[in-house]
Amino acid sequence: MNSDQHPMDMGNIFDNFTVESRSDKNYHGIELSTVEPVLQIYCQALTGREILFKEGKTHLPYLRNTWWTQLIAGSADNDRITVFLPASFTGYTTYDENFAWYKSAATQQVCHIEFGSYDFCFEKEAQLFENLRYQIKGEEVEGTSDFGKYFSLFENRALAARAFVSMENARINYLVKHHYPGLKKSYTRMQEDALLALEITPGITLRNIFCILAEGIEFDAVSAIEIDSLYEPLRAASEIVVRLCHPSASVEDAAEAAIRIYRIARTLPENRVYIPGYSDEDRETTGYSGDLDEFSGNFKLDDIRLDIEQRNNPGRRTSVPLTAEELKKLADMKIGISDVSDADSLPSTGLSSADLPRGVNIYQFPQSKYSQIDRYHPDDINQPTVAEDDEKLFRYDEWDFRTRQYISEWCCVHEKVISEGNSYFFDSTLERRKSLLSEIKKQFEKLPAEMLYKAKNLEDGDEYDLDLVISELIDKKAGHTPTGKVYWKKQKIHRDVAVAFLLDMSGSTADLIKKNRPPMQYEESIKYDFMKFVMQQHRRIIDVEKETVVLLCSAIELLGDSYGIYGFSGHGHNNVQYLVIKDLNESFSEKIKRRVDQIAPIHGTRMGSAIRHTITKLDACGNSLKLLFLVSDGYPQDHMYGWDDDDKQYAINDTKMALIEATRRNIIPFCLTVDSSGTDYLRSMCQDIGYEVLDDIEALPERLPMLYKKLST
Amino acid sequence: MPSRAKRHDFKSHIIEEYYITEEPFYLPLKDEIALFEAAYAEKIPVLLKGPTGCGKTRFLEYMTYRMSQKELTKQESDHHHNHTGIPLITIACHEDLTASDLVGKYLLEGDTTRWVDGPLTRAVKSGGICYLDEVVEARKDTIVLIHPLADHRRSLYIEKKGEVLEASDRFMLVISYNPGYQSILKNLKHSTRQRFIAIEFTHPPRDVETKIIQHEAGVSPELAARLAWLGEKIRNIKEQDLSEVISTRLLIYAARLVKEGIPARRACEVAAVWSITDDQEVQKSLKEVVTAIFE
Repeated sequence: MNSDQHPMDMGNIFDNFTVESRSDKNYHGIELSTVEPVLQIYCQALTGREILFKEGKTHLPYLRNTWWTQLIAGSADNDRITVFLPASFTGYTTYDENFAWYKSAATQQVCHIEFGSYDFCFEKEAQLFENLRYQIKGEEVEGTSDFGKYFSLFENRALAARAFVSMENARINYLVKHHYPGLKKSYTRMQEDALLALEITPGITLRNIFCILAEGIEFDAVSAIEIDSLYEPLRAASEIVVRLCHPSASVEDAAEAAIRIYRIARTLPENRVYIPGYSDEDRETTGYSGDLDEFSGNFKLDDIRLDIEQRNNPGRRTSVPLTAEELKKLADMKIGISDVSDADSLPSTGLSSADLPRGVNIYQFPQSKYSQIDRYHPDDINQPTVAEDDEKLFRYDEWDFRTRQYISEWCCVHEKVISEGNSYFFDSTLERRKSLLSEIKKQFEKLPAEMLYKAKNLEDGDEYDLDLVISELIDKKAGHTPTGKVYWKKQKIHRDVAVAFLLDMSGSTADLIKKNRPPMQYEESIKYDFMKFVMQQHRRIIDVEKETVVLLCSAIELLGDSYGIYGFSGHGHNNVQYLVIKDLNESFSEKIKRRVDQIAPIHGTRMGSAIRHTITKLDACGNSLKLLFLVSDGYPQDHMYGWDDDDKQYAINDTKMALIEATRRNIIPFCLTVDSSGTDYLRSMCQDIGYEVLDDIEALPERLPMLYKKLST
Repeated sequence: MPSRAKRHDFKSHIIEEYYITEEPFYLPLKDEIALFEAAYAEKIPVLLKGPTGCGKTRFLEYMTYRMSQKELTKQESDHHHNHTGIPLITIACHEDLTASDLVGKYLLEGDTTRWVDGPLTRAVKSGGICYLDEVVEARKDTIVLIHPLADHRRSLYIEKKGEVLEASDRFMLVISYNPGYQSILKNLKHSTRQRFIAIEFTHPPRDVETKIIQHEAGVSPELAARLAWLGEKIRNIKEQDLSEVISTRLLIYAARLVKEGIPARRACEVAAVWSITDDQEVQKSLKEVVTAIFE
């Protein structure tokens, strides 16, 4: 820190936390959504737990206390913690620095699991300090948690909690830097910036400043504040912190250190420190409302989730089970979170919000099988989950990459046979694309010749197998009866293929196909476009898909392979429409021709469930080779496909997982898109799975049969 | 002038005369040594299960050495004239491995034929430890051949010679496989599995792995500890993201690269990140773990 600079001028890098325009050439900020998948696996590696990420509305310096805030709210323990990070971060000038900040902030939060903050056991001895816990005669409280017993030792429990959180933060900060030296630079920078930003908190008490600064003693944050009365106490505190900062320090050591910090803090007056230039109005605008907010990190109730079902899961390992009683007691100790007015009853405890004292912040989510209840949308309630007469309903899980869990039976697939039109489209397409069909057929006719293999050990065949002949002669010489199996011949491999074509019938397939026009002057281009509009037949993406279906049917019929053609669309998780154009076990007939006519754009593109349903269909086939072709015109997108309507990452990851599920069932998936920007998302969606982006959609009718030929041999 | 490398700096052994003469470095994880010794004493075949690079082969080498030493001591006390240990005969299984490849075949020699024992027959005759590595890779009809050897009969049927070989007392059959990446199609038949006791191996705990890396790569305890820490973290990643976790062998490779002057981050990238996944997202995440642990 620059010693000439006034401390109040420091730490305001957080003022820069605004999302700038992405078009700004100097933009080096990062949006959480772009780095979340990487950070999620990173955090999983650190902790071995599935980590939920959430965009934090919290003032950034307080992110370091979210582990405690969640502990009090009962929403974090040894097995789960929510990492709160800002939606975007532009605090520093380069991308790498901003990413390093995200990484450090995530590490700081998850390391409370890795280094056992939630493992606190009142009976377990500290190794680095004399155990004062057993010498203090606290309030006798039966049946409380380990934390409850610990805080009952203190008269001023709010101050004790501050001391404990400060010491535990100091311990974690030390251990992170000890075990992850590669992070040290960016981590220290984040710590310094956060603590310096805290200095400007108006109305904070001297005791609290002491606790906060005790946490920052390791990098000399003491020098950043000029309060004479804190000099000696901080010097005494530094001895405690230095002893605590040891590779073997445990949470019990932090608890012992906190007792000593508490005792020093109690010697300080309870004065509030008002900083010149900060009026009450400033407090309102900065969002500070005093000590409780300072401590809790100004959490709002929607920042904290209480996952009731997880708490009730008997298989879950937890060392700090907080019952309603304990929550209430902790709240009595005034170490809780900010007020809430609308918290309803807690299903797990039977406690209602009226029973809870002020200071306890509990947010209840509706009962559900999973924790993403805020994804419920009012429209969902009216979505159809009852089958119509000609429909069959199927439920499928959906993959949430953020929680890294399947959402059990989240999607309802409505399968029905598409209605029939007339066979004019089918027949006219065959006529119109006669030459292309003839070419495809020629290619397909070559297939049997290519499906030969060399069969050995035969009594009769095309030629002698020299190795076998020698072996036979040797056996004969050795006095054994010859087997006579010395021939080889080319044998046809019996084609045993089942293929399902899954067509995107989303609304976007109604888009007209735009042909690239040659470069020309503006006036000329207007004329060109107008003439094109007048002269050309308007073809939509869906029309090309239909045409492809016609050619596929005609070509695959030649081979005699088992094939199915399905369309999918839908609107919301409860209404995934799965339309059967030709089922896998169905023979080709005039009916199929008439069904092709009815292929039309419908709604969204909930790919994951459609793929899963197709997997079920292919699974039921006994064929040795199973293929799944996904033909789409863009990335997966549907109503509330994710945490909102435009949660691209969620939809892509669910589709990716569905494709992986296919490979696990020995099905070979292949994705074909006519979206020219498809490379971006297909690369992450498909990974090791085959995919192709067609620049010219008109090439689809020719390309898809060829791809099929390649994959099925 | 730099000295030229020796033209023949390799060693050649006849398969049934391959003895482990120096004690291999092995740190026990649980009671596997006692289990193996008991199985050997009772002539029970052993199946070693575990992920790639967790030390199955090293364990067997160690046990072969250990059993050899016991055998030699016994021979000395019995005043045997020919002191021989127990050979280790390793057969890497693959799809084209035939019964003849294991048992033996006739070869032409001038105008006559000569029978040549396969490695399994030689192991049975010499009383060695026969190790069928990655046994599930072999065809099921080939594996069936070992059934009479792996039960109370301890016999090998040589069809072409019309012979039955009863195994020596010192003979032991050991097979290994990695249940993680084998497909359902390549699983062991129950009739095969139920002829073996199974010793399961996992990756060693961090403190043990630190010692292994330190010893095998000859690096400092600090570097070994950091690599073991990295190994532990990578193994935390779930199956959805990483189908096969990092082996101790790869961590040792990383340590060796560092010893040769490659920066630790780079060594881990090539040995511990790219080797285990092609998924770019997972690669990025693993690199972040590496850059956190190594400066």
